[in-house]
Amino acid sequence: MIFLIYFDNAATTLMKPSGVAAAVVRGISSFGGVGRGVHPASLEAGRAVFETRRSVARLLGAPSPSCVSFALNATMALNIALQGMAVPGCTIVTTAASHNSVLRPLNRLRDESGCTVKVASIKPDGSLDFDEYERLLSEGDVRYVAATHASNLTGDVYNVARMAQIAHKYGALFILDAAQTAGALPLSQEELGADVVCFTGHKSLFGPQGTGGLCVMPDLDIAPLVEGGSGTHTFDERHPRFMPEALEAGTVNAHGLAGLAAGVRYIEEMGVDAIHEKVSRLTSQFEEGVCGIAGVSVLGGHGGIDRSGVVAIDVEGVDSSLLGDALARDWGICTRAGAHCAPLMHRALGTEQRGAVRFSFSCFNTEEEIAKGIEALKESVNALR
Amino acid sequence: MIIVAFHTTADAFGFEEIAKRYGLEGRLGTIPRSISAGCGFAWLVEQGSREILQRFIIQQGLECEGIYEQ
Repeated sequence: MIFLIYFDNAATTLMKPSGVAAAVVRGISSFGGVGRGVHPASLEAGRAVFETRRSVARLLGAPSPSCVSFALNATMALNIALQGMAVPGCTIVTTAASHNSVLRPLNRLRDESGCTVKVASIKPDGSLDFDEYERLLSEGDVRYVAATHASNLTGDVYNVARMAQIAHKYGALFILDAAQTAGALPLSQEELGADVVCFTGHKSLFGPQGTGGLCVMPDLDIAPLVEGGSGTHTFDERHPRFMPEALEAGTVNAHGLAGLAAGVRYIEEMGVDAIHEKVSRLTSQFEEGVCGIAGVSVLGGHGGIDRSGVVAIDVEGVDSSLLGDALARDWGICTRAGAHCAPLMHRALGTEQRGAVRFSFSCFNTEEEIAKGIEALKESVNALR
Repeated sequence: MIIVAFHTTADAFGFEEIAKRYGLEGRLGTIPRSISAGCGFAWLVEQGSREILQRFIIQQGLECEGIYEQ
Protein backbone atom coordinates (compact mmCIF):
# COMPACT_ATOMS: atom_id res chain seq x y z
CA MET A 1 0.00 0.00 0.00
CA ILE A 2 1.25 3.44 -0.92
CA PHE A 3 1.83 5.74 2.07
CA LEU A 4 -0.64 8.58 2.05
CA ILE A 5 0.16 12.23 2.45
CA TYR A 6 -3.15 13.79 3.32
CA PHE A 7 -3.71 17.35 2.05
CA ASP A 8 -7.52 17.32 1.88
CA ASN A 9 -8.27 18.60 5.36
CA ALA A 10 -10.68 21.27 4.11
CA ALA A 11 -12.98 18.40 3.11
CA THR A 12 -12.48 16.11 6.11
CA THR A 13 -9.58 15.85 8.53
CA LEU A 14 -8.19 12.32 8.36
CA MET A 15 -5.69 12.51 11.19
CA LYS A 16 -7.62 12.94 14.43
CA PRO A 17 -6.46 13.16 18.02
CA SER A 18 -6.39 9.63 19.45
CA GLY A 19 -9.08 10.46 22.01
CA VAL A 20 -11.69 10.93 19.28
CA ALA A 21 -11.92 7.30 18.15
CA ALA A 22 -11.69 6.12 21.77
CA ALA A 23 -14.63 8.34 22.76
CA VAL A 24 -16.77 7.01 19.88
CA VAL A 25 -15.97 3.41 20.80
CA ARG A 26 -16.78 4.09 24.44
CA GLY A 27 -20.04 5.77 23.48
CA ILE A 28 -21.19 3.12 21.07
CA SER A 29 -20.56 0.50 23.74
CA SER A 30 -22.41 2.21 26.55
CA PHE A 31 -24.90 4.87 25.40
CA GLY A 32 -28.66 4.58 25.36
CA GLY A 33 -30.83 7.20 23.67
CA VAL A 34 -30.42 10.80 24.81
CA GLY A 35 -33.55 11.97 26.57
CA ARG A 36 -35.31 8.70 25.85
CA GLY A 37 -35.83 7.09 29.22
CA VAL A 38 -34.18 7.85 32.52
CA HIS A 39 -31.86 4.94 33.14
CA PRO A 40 -28.08 4.77 33.48
CA ALA A 41 -27.38 4.23 29.77
CA SER A 42 -29.62 7.13 28.74
CA LEU A 43 -28.18 9.40 31.41
CA GLU A 44 -24.63 8.62 30.32
CA ALA A 45 -25.48 9.53 26.74
CA GLY A 46 -27.26 12.70 27.85
CA ARG A 47 -24.33 13.82 29.96
CA ALA A 48 -21.93 13.23 27.08
CA VAL A 49 -24.06 15.26 24.67
CA PHE A 50 -24.43 18.06 27.20
CA GLU A 51 -20.65 18.09 27.68
CA THR A 52 -20.28 18.45 23.88
CA ARG A 53 -22.73 21.37 23.86
CA ARG A 54 -20.77 23.04 26.61
CA SER A 55 -17.37 22.57 24.99
CA VAL A 56 -18.58 23.74 21.56
CA ALA A 57 -20.23 26.81 23.15
CA ARG A 58 -16.99 27.63 24.96
CA LEU A 59 -14.80 27.16 21.87
CA LEU A 60 -17.03 29.13 19.51
CA GLY A 61 -17.95 31.86 21.98
CA ALA A 62 -21.67 31.07 22.08
CA PRO A 63 -23.54 32.46 25.09
CA SER A 64 -24.45 29.09 26.64
CA PRO A 65 -24.74 25.34 25.93
CA SER A 66 -28.46 25.82 25.31
CA CYS A 67 -27.59 27.92 22.26
CA VAL A 68 -25.93 24.94 20.54
CA SER A 69 -28.16 22.65 18.44
CA PHE A 70 -26.63 19.66 16.74
CA ALA A 71 -27.07 18.60 13.13
CA LEU A 72 -25.37 16.17 10.76
CA ASN A 73 -22.94 18.71 9.32
CA ALA A 74 -22.66 22.37 8.30
CA THR A 75 -24.88 21.81 5.25
CA MET A 76 -27.76 20.62 7.39
CA ALA A 77 -27.15 23.37 9.95
CA LEU A 78 -27.17 25.98 7.18
CA ASN A 79 -30.38 24.57 5.72
CA ILE A 80 -32.00 24.80 9.15
CA ALA A 81 -30.96 28.45 9.54
CA LEU A 82 -31.50 29.61 5.96
CA GLN A 83 -34.94 28.04 5.61
CA GLY A 84 -36.04 28.58 9.21
CA MET A 85 -35.23 32.29 9.19
CA ALA A 86 -36.65 33.15 5.77
CA VAL A 87 -40.16 34.35 5.09
CA PRO A 88 -41.86 34.17 1.68
CA GLY A 89 -40.81 37.04 -0.54
CA CYS A 90 -37.95 38.22 1.65
CA THR A 91 -34.59 39.54 0.41
CA ILE A 92 -31.38 37.72 1.29
CA VAL A 93 -27.75 38.75 0.73
CA THR A 94 -24.82 36.38 0.32
CA THR A 95 -21.39 36.53 -1.31
CA ALA A 96 -19.79 34.85 -4.31
CA ALA A 97 -17.49 33.03 -1.88
CA SER A 98 -20.41 30.94 -0.66
CA HIS A 99 -20.39 27.16 -0.90
CA ASN A 100 -23.30 25.33 -2.49
CA SER A 101 -24.49 24.53 1.04
CA VAL A 102 -25.55 28.19 1.14
CA LEU A 103 -26.23 28.88 -2.54
CA ARG A 104 -28.53 25.94 -3.26
CA PRO A 105 -30.87 26.43 -0.28
CA LEU A 106 -31.03 30.13 -1.17
CA ASN A 107 -31.80 29.33 -4.80
CA ARG A 108 -34.57 27.05 -3.60
CA LEU A 109 -36.00 29.91 -1.52
CA ARG A 110 -35.80 32.07 -4.66
CA ASP A 111 -37.56 29.46 -6.83
CA GLU A 112 -40.17 28.18 -4.38
CA SER A 113 -40.80 31.03 -1.92
CA GLY A 114 -40.41 34.12 -4.08
CA CYS A 115 -37.31 35.31 -2.20
CA THR A 116 -34.80 37.67 -3.82
CA VAL A 117 -31.18 36.57 -3.49
CA LYS A 118 -28.47 39.20 -3.97
CA VAL A 119 -24.82 38.22 -4.29
CA ALA A 120 -21.89 40.49 -3.35
CA SER A 121 -18.93 40.01 -5.68
CA ILE A 122 -15.51 38.60 -4.99
CA LYS A 123 -12.67 40.47 -6.72
CA PRO A 124 -10.04 38.61 -8.81
CA ASP A 125 -7.60 38.72 -5.86
CA GLY A 126 -10.11 36.80 -3.73
CA SER A 127 -11.25 39.77 -1.63
CA LEU A 128 -14.86 40.76 -0.98
CA ASP A 129 -16.22 43.87 -2.66
CA PHE A 130 -17.31 45.63 0.54
CA ASP A 131 -18.75 48.64 -1.34
CA GLU A 132 -21.10 46.40 -3.25
CA TYR A 133 -21.93 44.41 -0.10
CA GLU A 134 -23.01 47.55 1.74
CA ARG A 135 -24.88 48.85 -1.31
CA LEU A 136 -26.93 45.63 -1.50
CA LEU A 137 -27.87 45.99 2.15
CA SER A 138 -28.62 49.69 1.82
CA GLU A 139 -31.21 48.91 -0.87
CA GLY A 140 -33.32 47.89 2.11
CA ASP A 141 -35.53 45.21 3.57
CA VAL A 142 -32.88 42.48 3.78
CA ARG A 143 -34.00 39.67 6.07
CA TYR A 144 -30.53 38.21 6.60
CA VAL A 145 -27.01 37.90 5.28
CA ALA A 146 -25.53 34.41 4.90
CA ALA A 147 -21.77 34.54 4.49
CA THR A 148 -18.81 32.25 4.72
CA HIS A 149 -16.03 33.00 7.19
CA ALA A 150 -13.36 31.66 4.84
CA SER A 151 -13.46 30.60 1.21
CA ASN A 152 -13.20 26.83 0.92
CA LEU A 153 -11.40 27.42 -2.40
CA THR A 154 -8.79 30.10 -1.65
CA GLY A 155 -8.61 30.10 2.15
CA ASP A 156 -9.23 33.85 2.24
CA VAL A 157 -10.70 34.76 5.63
CA TYR A 158 -13.22 37.57 5.41
CA ASN A 159 -13.77 40.34 7.92
CA VAL A 160 -17.04 38.91 9.13
CA ALA A 161 -17.21 41.15 12.20
CA ARG A 162 -17.37 44.12 9.82
CA MET A 163 -19.87 42.28 7.63
CA ALA A 164 -22.11 41.54 10.64
CA GLN A 165 -21.89 45.14 11.78
CA ILE A 166 -22.99 46.40 8.36
CA ALA A 167 -25.81 43.83 8.24
CA HIS A 168 -27.10 44.91 11.64
CA LYS A 169 -26.81 48.59 10.66
CA TYR A 170 -29.40 47.91 7.97
CA GLY A 171 -31.59 45.73 10.21
CA ALA A 172 -30.55 42.37 8.77
CA LEU A 173 -29.60 39.26 10.73
CA PHE A 174 -26.21 37.64 10.12
CA ILE A 175 -25.67 33.91 9.55
CA LEU A 176 -22.05 32.77 9.52
CA ASP A 177 -20.88 29.66 7.69
CA ALA A 178 -17.90 28.59 9.80
CA ALA A 179 -17.41 25.21 8.12
CA GLN A 180 -13.82 26.09 7.23
CA THR A 181 -12.89 27.99 10.38
CA ALA A 182 -14.46 26.43 13.49
CA GLY A 183 -11.48 25.02 15.39
CA ALA A 184 -8.98 26.40 12.87
CA LEU A 185 -9.18 30.09 13.71
CA PRO A 186 -10.10 32.02 16.85
CA LEU A 187 -13.85 32.56 16.61
CA SER A 188 -16.30 34.07 19.07
CA GLN A 189 -19.94 34.29 18.09
CA GLU A 190 -20.62 36.99 20.67
CA GLU A 191 -17.60 39.10 19.71
CA LEU A 192 -18.27 38.78 15.98
CA GLY A 193 -21.93 39.65 16.44
CA ALA A 194 -23.16 36.69 14.41
CA ASP A 195 -26.79 35.78 15.08
CA VAL A 196 -26.15 32.20 13.96
CA VAL A 197 -22.88 30.30 13.51
CA CYS A 198 -23.06 27.06 11.52
CA PHE A 199 -20.23 24.57 11.97
CA THR A 200 -19.26 21.05 11.03
CA GLY A 201 -17.53 18.54 13.27
CA HIS A 202 -15.53 16.55 10.74
CA LYS A 203 -13.11 19.23 9.56
CA SER A 204 -11.02 21.34 11.95
CA LEU A 205 -12.94 20.31 15.07
CA PHE A 206 -11.54 16.78 14.48
CA GLY A 207 -14.88 15.09 15.13
CA PRO A 208 -16.43 12.19 13.21
CA GLN A 209 -18.45 12.71 10.03
CA GLY A 210 -22.14 13.14 10.85
CA THR A 211 -21.53 15.79 13.50
CA GLY A 212 -22.05 19.54 13.29
CA GLY A 213 -24.58 22.12 14.30
CA LEU A 214 -25.51 25.72 14.80
CA CYS A 215 -25.03 28.23 17.60
CA VAL A 216 -28.09 30.46 17.83
CA MET A 217 -28.22 33.67 19.84
CA PRO A 218 -30.85 33.61 22.63
CA ASP A 219 -34.34 34.81 21.70
CA LEU A 220 -33.82 34.17 17.99
CA ASP A 221 -36.69 31.88 17.01
CA ILE A 222 -35.88 29.59 14.08
CA ALA A 223 -38.67 27.48 12.61
CA PRO A 224 -37.57 23.82 12.77
CA LEU A 225 -36.67 22.18 9.47
CA VAL A 226 -37.58 18.75 10.87
CA GLU A 227 -40.23 17.88 13.45
CA GLY A 228 -40.67 14.64 15.33
CA GLY A 229 -39.59 12.91 18.51
CA SER A 230 -38.24 15.19 21.20
CA GLY A 231 -38.36 13.08 24.36
CA THR A 232 -40.42 15.88 25.96
CA HIS A 233 -43.93 17.35 25.60
CA THR A 234 -45.17 14.21 23.90
CA PHE A 235 -48.77 15.33 23.57
CA ASP A 236 -47.95 18.66 21.90
CA GLU A 237 -49.09 18.46 18.30
CA ARG A 238 -46.03 20.28 16.98
CA HIS A 239 -42.36 20.01 17.83
CA PRO A 240 -41.50 21.99 21.01
CA ARG A 241 -39.81 25.34 20.24
CA PHE A 242 -37.41 25.31 23.20
CA MET A 243 -33.74 25.56 22.31
CA PRO A 244 -31.52 23.69 21.71
CA GLU A 245 -33.77 20.69 21.07
CA ALA A 246 -36.22 22.70 18.96
CA LEU A 247 -33.85 22.10 16.03
CA GLU A 248 -32.99 18.47 16.86
CA ALA A 249 -35.99 16.23 16.12
CA GLY A 250 -35.09 12.55 16.47
CA THR A 251 -32.26 10.92 18.38
CA VAL A 252 -29.00 12.85 18.05
CA ASN A 253 -25.73 11.21 17.03
CA ALA A 254 -24.50 10.85 20.61
CA HIS A 255 -21.71 8.46 19.62
CA GLY A 256 -20.33 10.93 17.12
CA LEU A 257 -20.85 13.87 19.46
CA ALA A 258 -18.78 12.14 22.14
CA GLY A 259 -16.00 12.01 19.56
CA LEU A 260 -16.56 15.67 18.70
CA ALA A 261 -16.14 16.60 22.38
CA ALA A 262 -12.79 14.80 22.37
CA GLY A 263 -11.75 16.75 19.27
CA VAL A 264 -12.71 20.04 20.90
CA ARG A 265 -10.87 19.04 24.07
CA TYR A 266 -7.70 18.52 22.03
CA ILE A 267 -8.08 21.95 20.41
CA GLU A 268 -8.56 23.59 23.80
CA GLU A 269 -5.47 21.85 25.15
CA MET A 270 -3.34 22.83 22.14
CA GLY A 271 -4.86 26.31 21.80
CA VAL A 272 -6.55 27.56 18.64
CA ASP A 273 -3.86 30.22 18.19
CA ALA A 274 -1.07 27.64 18.31
CA ILE A 275 -2.89 25.38 15.84
CA HIS A 276 -3.51 28.30 13.47
CA GLU A 277 0.12 29.42 13.75
CA LYS A 278 1.39 25.96 12.80
CA VAL A 279 -1.02 25.56 9.89
CA SER A 280 -0.16 29.07 8.65
CA ARG A 281 3.53 28.18 8.70
CA LEU A 282 2.92 25.02 6.66
CA THR A 283 0.68 26.95 4.25
CA SER A 284 3.34 29.63 3.67
CA GLN A 285 6.03 26.96 3.19
CA PHE A 286 3.90 25.29 0.53
CA GLU A 287 2.93 28.51 -1.25
CA GLU A 288 6.53 29.73 -1.39
CA GLY A 289 7.61 26.35 -2.73
CA VAL A 290 5.08 26.19 -5.55
CA CYS A 291 5.09 29.83 -6.66
CA GLY A 292 8.18 29.41 -8.82
CA ILE A 293 6.92 26.37 -10.75
CA ALA A 294 6.37 27.30 -14.40
CA GLY A 295 2.67 27.48 -15.30
CA VAL A 296 1.44 27.34 -11.71
CA SER A 297 -0.55 30.18 -10.19
CA VAL A 298 -2.03 30.35 -6.72
CA LEU A 299 -5.67 31.41 -6.52
CA GLY A 300 -6.39 34.16 -3.99
CA GLY A 301 -5.07 33.57 -0.51
CA HIS A 302 -4.17 37.18 0.23
CA GLY A 303 -7.52 38.87 -0.27
CA GLY A 304 -8.80 38.65 3.28
CA ILE A 305 -7.74 39.60 6.79
CA ASP A 306 -6.22 36.17 7.35
CA ARG A 307 -5.93 32.80 5.65
CA SER A 308 -7.00 29.27 6.50
CA GLY A 309 -4.73 26.34 5.62
CA VAL A 310 -5.67 26.25 1.95
CA VAL A 311 -3.61 26.74 -1.21
CA ALA A 312 -5.52 26.30 -4.48
CA ILE A 313 -3.57 26.22 -7.69
CA ASP A 314 -4.35 26.62 -11.34
CA VAL A 315 -1.95 25.12 -13.89
CA GLU A 316 -1.92 26.75 -17.29
CA GLY A 317 -3.30 24.37 -19.91
CA VAL A 318 -3.84 21.47 -17.50
CA ASP A 319 -7.20 20.14 -16.37
CA SER A 320 -7.21 20.04 -12.58
CA SER A 321 -8.56 16.48 -12.53
CA LEU A 322 -5.48 15.18 -14.39
CA LEU A 323 -3.16 16.78 -11.89
CA GLY A 324 -5.18 15.57 -8.91
CA ASP A 325 -5.13 12.03 -10.31
CA ALA A 326 -1.37 12.15 -10.96
CA LEU A 327 -0.67 13.31 -7.40
CA ALA A 328 -2.83 10.54 -5.93
CA ARG A 329 -1.69 7.75 -8.23
CA ASP A 330 2.03 8.47 -8.47
CA TRP A 331 2.72 10.07 -5.10
CA GLY A 332 -0.04 8.99 -2.73
CA ILE A 333 -0.91 12.64 -2.15
CA CYS A 334 -4.57 13.35 -1.39
CA THR A 335 -5.84 16.69 -2.71
CA ARG A 336 -9.16 17.92 -4.03
CA ALA A 337 -9.41 18.70 -7.72
CA GLY A 338 -12.42 20.21 -9.47
CA ALA A 339 -14.87 22.93 -8.56
CA HIS A 340 -15.13 22.44 -4.77
CA CYS A 341 -18.89 23.15 -4.62
CA ALA A 342 -17.99 26.83 -5.07
CA PRO A 343 -19.34 27.75 -8.53
CA LEU A 344 -19.47 31.52 -8.11
CA MET A 345 -15.97 31.64 -6.66
CA HIS A 346 -14.51 29.72 -9.62
CA ARG A 347 -16.39 32.05 -11.94
CA ALA A 348 -14.96 35.08 -10.12
CA LEU A 349 -11.44 33.72 -10.38
CA GLY A 350 -11.76 32.59 -14.00
CA THR A 351 -11.23 28.89 -13.29
CA GLU A 352 -14.66 27.64 -14.23
CA GLN A 353 -13.34 25.50 -17.11
CA ARG A 354 -10.20 23.89 -15.66
CA GLY A 355 -11.15 23.92 -12.01
CA ALA A 356 -8.32 23.97 -9.49
CA VAL A 357 -6.33 21.63 -7.30
CA ARG A 358 -6.77 22.43 -3.64
CA PHE A 359 -4.17 21.53 -1.04
CA SER A 360 -5.43 21.94 2.51
CA PHE A 361 -3.37 21.36 5.62
CA SER A 362 -3.90 20.52 9.26
CA CYS A 363 -1.75 20.75 12.35
CA PHE A 364 -1.02 17.03 11.97
CA ASN A 365 0.86 17.64 8.69
CA THR A 366 4.64 18.05 8.83
CA GLU A 367 7.24 20.19 7.10
CA GLU A 368 8.61 17.01 5.49
CA GLU A 369 5.20 16.27 3.97
CA ILE A 370 5.00 19.81 2.63
CA ALA A 371 8.44 19.45 1.02
CA LYS A 372 7.34 16.16 -0.56
CA GLY A 373 4.18 17.83 -1.83
CA ILE A 374 6.19 20.60 -3.51
CA GLU A 375 8.48 18.06 -5.16
CA ALA A 376 5.50 15.99 -6.33
CA LEU A 377 3.76 19.03 -7.76
CA LYS A 378 6.88 20.14 -9.68
CA GLU A 379 7.35 16.74 -11.29
CA SER A 380 3.65 16.18 -12.00
CA VAL A 381 3.22 19.62 -13.60
CA ASN A 382 6.32 19.10 -15.75
CA ALA A 383 5.00 15.74 -16.89
CA LEU A 384 1.54 17.07 -17.75
CA ARG A 385 2.49 20.31 -19.55
CA MET B 1 -41.18 15.01 47.10
CA ILE B 2 -40.12 18.18 45.32
CA ILE B 3 -39.96 17.98 41.54
CA VAL B 4 -38.23 20.39 39.19
CA ALA B 5 -39.48 20.04 35.61
CA PHE B 6 -37.57 21.21 32.55
CA HIS B 7 -38.39 22.40 29.05
CA THR B 8 -35.52 20.45 27.48
CA THR B 9 -33.17 17.59 28.14
CA ALA B 10 -30.28 20.06 27.83
CA ASP B 11 -31.73 22.14 30.67
CA ALA B 12 -32.00 18.99 32.81
CA PHE B 13 -28.36 18.06 32.30
CA GLY B 14 -27.26 21.65 32.81
CA PHE B 15 -29.18 21.66 36.09
CA GLU B 16 -27.66 18.36 37.18
CA GLU B 17 -24.15 19.59 36.54
CA ILE B 18 -24.58 22.72 38.63
CA ALA B 19 -26.49 20.85 41.35
CA LYS B 20 -23.70 18.31 41.70
CA ARG B 21 -21.08 21.02 41.77
CA TYR B 22 -22.83 22.72 44.69
CA GLY B 23 -23.79 19.51 46.48
CA LEU B 24 -27.52 20.07 46.04
CA GLU B 25 -29.58 17.12 47.15
CA GLY B 26 -31.54 15.16 44.54
CA ARG B 27 -31.19 13.24 41.31
CA LEU B 28 -32.42 13.14 37.73
CA GLY B 29 -35.45 10.89 37.28
CA THR B 30 -38.57 10.53 35.17
CA ILE B 31 -41.10 13.31 35.57
CA PRO B 32 -44.34 12.00 37.12
CA ARG B 33 -47.09 11.67 34.54
CA SER B 34 -49.42 13.72 36.74
CA ILE B 35 -47.19 16.76 36.38
CA SER B 36 -46.25 16.68 32.74
CA ALA B 37 -47.70 15.05 29.68
CA GLY B 38 -44.17 14.67 28.41
CA CYS B 39 -41.71 11.88 28.96
CA GLY B 40 -38.83 14.02 30.07
CA PHE B 41 -36.49 14.39 32.99
CA ALA B 42 -37.11 15.98 36.34
CA TRP B 43 -34.87 16.78 39.28
CA LEU B 44 -36.29 14.82 42.18
CA VAL B 45 -35.66 15.75 45.80
CA GLU B 46 -37.04 13.26 48.33
CA GLN B 47 -37.03 15.65 51.26
CA GLY B 48 -36.06 19.27 51.11
CA SER B 49 -37.12 22.85 50.96
CA ARG B 50 -38.88 24.29 47.94
CA GLU B 51 -37.67 27.76 48.92
CA ILE B 52 -34.03 26.67 48.95
CA LEU B 53 -34.46 25.11 45.53
CA GLN B 54 -36.13 28.22 44.16
CA ARG B 55 -33.37 30.44 45.51
CA PHE B 56 -30.72 28.12 44.04
CA ILE B 57 -32.35 28.21 40.59
CA ILE B 58 -32.54 32.00 40.59
CA GLN B 59 -28.99 32.45 41.91
CA GLN B 60 -27.52 30.12 39.28
CA GLY B 61 -29.65 31.48 36.44
CA LEU B 62 -30.98 27.98 35.64
CA GLU B 63 -33.86 27.29 33.28
CA CYS B 64 -36.80 25.20 34.48
CA GLU B 65 -40.44 24.74 33.56
CA GLY B 66 -41.72 24.67 37.12
CA ILE B 67 -41.33 23.38 40.67
CA TYR B 68 -43.94 21.00 42.05
CA GLU B 69 -44.60 19.13 45.30
CA GLN B 70 -46.15 15.71 45.63
